[in-house]
Amino acid sequence: VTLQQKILSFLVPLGLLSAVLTISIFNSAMDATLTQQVVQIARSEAESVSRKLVAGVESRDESRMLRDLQVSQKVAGATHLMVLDGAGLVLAHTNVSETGRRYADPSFQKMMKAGDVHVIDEKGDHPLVLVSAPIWSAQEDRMNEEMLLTGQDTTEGQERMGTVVISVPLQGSLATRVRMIKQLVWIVGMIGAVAILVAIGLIRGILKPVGFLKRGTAQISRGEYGVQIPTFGKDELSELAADFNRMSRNLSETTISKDFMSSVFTHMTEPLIVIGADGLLQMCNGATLRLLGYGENELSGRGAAVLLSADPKAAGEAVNFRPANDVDAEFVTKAGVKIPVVYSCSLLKNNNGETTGSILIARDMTERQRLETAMRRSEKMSAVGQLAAGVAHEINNPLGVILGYAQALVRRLPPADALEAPLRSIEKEAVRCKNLVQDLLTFSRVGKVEREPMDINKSVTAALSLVKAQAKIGQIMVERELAEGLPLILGNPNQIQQVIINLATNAMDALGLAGTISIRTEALEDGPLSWVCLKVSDSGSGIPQDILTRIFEPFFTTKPVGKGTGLGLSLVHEIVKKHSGTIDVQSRPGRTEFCVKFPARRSGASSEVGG
Amino acid sequence: MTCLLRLLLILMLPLARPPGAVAAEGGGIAIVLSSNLKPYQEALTGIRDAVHQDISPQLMTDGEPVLSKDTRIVIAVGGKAALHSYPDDVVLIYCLAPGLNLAAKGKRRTIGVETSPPLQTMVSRLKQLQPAMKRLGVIWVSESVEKSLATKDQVKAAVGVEIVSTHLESADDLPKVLRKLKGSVDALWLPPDPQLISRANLATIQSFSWANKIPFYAPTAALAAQGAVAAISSTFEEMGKAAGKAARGVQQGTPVGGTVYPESVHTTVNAAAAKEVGLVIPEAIMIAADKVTQ
Repeated sequence: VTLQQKILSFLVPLGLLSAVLTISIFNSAMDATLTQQVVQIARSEAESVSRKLVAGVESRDESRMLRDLQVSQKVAGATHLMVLDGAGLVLAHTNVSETGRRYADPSFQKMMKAGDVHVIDEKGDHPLVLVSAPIWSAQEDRMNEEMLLTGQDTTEGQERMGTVVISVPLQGSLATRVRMIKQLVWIVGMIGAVAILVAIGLIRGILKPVGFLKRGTAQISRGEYGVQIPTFGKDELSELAADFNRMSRNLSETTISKDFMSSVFTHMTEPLIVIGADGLLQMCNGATLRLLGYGENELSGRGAAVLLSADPKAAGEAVNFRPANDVDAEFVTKAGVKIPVVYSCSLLKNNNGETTGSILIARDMTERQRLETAMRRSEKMSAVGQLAAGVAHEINNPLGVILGYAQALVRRLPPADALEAPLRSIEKEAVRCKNLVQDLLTFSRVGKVEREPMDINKSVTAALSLVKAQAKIGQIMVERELAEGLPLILGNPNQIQQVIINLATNAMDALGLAGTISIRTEALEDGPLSWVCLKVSDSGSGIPQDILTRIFEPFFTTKPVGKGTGLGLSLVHEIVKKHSGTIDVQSRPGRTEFCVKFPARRSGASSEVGG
Repeated sequence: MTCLLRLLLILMLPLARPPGAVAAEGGGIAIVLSSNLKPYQEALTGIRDAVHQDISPQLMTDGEPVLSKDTRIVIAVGGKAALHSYPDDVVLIYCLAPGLNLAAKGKRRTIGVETSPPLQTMVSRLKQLQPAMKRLGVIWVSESVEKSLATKDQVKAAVGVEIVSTHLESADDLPKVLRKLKGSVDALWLPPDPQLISRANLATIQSFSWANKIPFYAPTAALAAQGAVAAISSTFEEMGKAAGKAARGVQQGTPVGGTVYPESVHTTVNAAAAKEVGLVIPEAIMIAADKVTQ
């Protein structure tokens, strides 16, 4: 139901009610007025003729009375007039056949009182007004004295000789009333129709600006800020429209500003968090959500500690609204993973200087920490390499002498000589030392080899022939999955093969006597860079997390003494690094996978998969 | 036995008074009222106040008044009471009998109380109401009115208003006389003439007055409400008081005869009638008026 319909549904019944009431009141008033008018005429004529009838009544002269009655009948339009004496005897009547009749009943006697008025058959077809007036005897001159003193007529001292009764029909006045009521109904109807049309016009005129306001509001609700509506005149609605336009402009300006700020907020690469005065998160930008793995509205309204619980001190600074700069902390992701960050916190204040919250900008330190770790490792490796090269160089020659003499002595001993066992032991340990020295030399000479375009799949195939022979000793299965069409890499085939063998050997050591080793190659696109990826995985017990970051350190080994030198993975790491590659390890119980990535050459032949 | 008879005669003497006879009270004053009309009752109050006696009145409507032997003064209130025939040795003082002049009818031992104030007083008051008035028309039927106009020349000299007195042979001449007066008078005054004043004549005069913007003034306050612009008169109580004082004067030896006037004069203004005839009554007079009707 529209506003216009509501107003009309109120006005139309009100108008109809008013019209009915008006006609009803007018009908009653007109009825009373017309009847009163007839009564007045009848009374006036009765009083007038009563004075003329004095002589006729005194002399009981019917003809004389009849003349006066007939004149009055004509003047008043009466149906009849009659003169009665005090006993109710008709002395004269305009209808002469009534003369001599006697009205003795009490009701008629009562009606004959002076000035009494009766309406007969009011609702019938022939309503009448009966008015009676007394006929007094002639007035003495002296009686004017009372008029002079009191201003009123008096009948004191006069004798009532009879009563004149006049009967006037009401049909004429009733017909007039009906005619006027009809005219009034017609006029009221016309006025009502015009009033309704005018009301509709006025309502539309009034509601037109309201309609503009409604449409304007709808446009704003759809985000069409700055919409302007027309203003008419200088009334309240016009002022309202002007205010609306002003509000729309302001809304447009502030919304554009808000959108701009929102865009800045959204596109920031660093996490930004707004915390309210109540310690609840008010806003978190997209960088925050992406970093911590939360959805769009998952953080709004939650306590700030949900992000910073890992560091109560940091959380306290943010929630307790203390400014801070470059605070090292850890955020906790939705999955519970800790992410190292550095954040700064500043306070939000209103116009009165009261703190309303705090704003926190953080920086993800994960990559930086990784780089720092890698740098520290590289420096360590470099130092170890230099040390190893020096030591190996100094030990290599004496060790060669020891080994040579030990072997010569063993060959010259007679069978079953008592010195054979010690000499063989010397020879064996010297060989082991020589191998160790060789590893150290290899380790120290990684960066000094020449590189050439090579197919990594060939290196894998060559290395696997050695690995499989060792795997056959136990029940270890070696699976390979080499991608076709791999791009070439720039590398030293021997060193790449060394990497594969070392990783496979390490895997076999982890498996023990049974298990599966999987070697896969694949091409990898990472943005503008192309990589050739070598993945070596085993189904062993996995590497504990607390030593995962240390496995590439030189001389770090979990194997028993004498079983490993602790240089295998270090050598792998060093070779990969020298080839501008990367190596990552992911380990969990039942699966450990080393992923080695070498930069692919931009041009070159595709690899072939060998048997 | 003789003594006993004399005693019985003495005891029965009061019973010998004729039925209806009223003992004269205090100085032999009797009061007779024409009827029980309210103005007569008000006058009775004034009489009692003046004579300092609570005398019971006789009403003409109850029958012929009967006077005691020691009645020396009769105060008649109303024309009917005044016209009754009283013993010759009784002094008749009458009031509220407008248009009646018993002295003119040969009755010497009478004193009349005028209904209106002296002509000069009355005209002076009218002049205050209508300062522009120069000619005042007076129309009358009763011969008695002529006497009250005897001082019109002095009034003209004193007040500056010429009295245009017009005697009507009968009240039926009123329309003709009014037509004659139109344009020759500034106002009309109706004297207290019962032969002229009737409801019909008042209606005629009022219509003439309002149609021709000629104010007319009435002799009694009651008639001011019937369309007159104003009335200069006394209250009925004042008239009765004047009659009572005259009775006391007679008792004290004042010569009997002539007329007396009430002491106070009242002005009653009909503001609606004044507006109808276009008369602007000075504000001070309106404020000073004893009664103003709208």
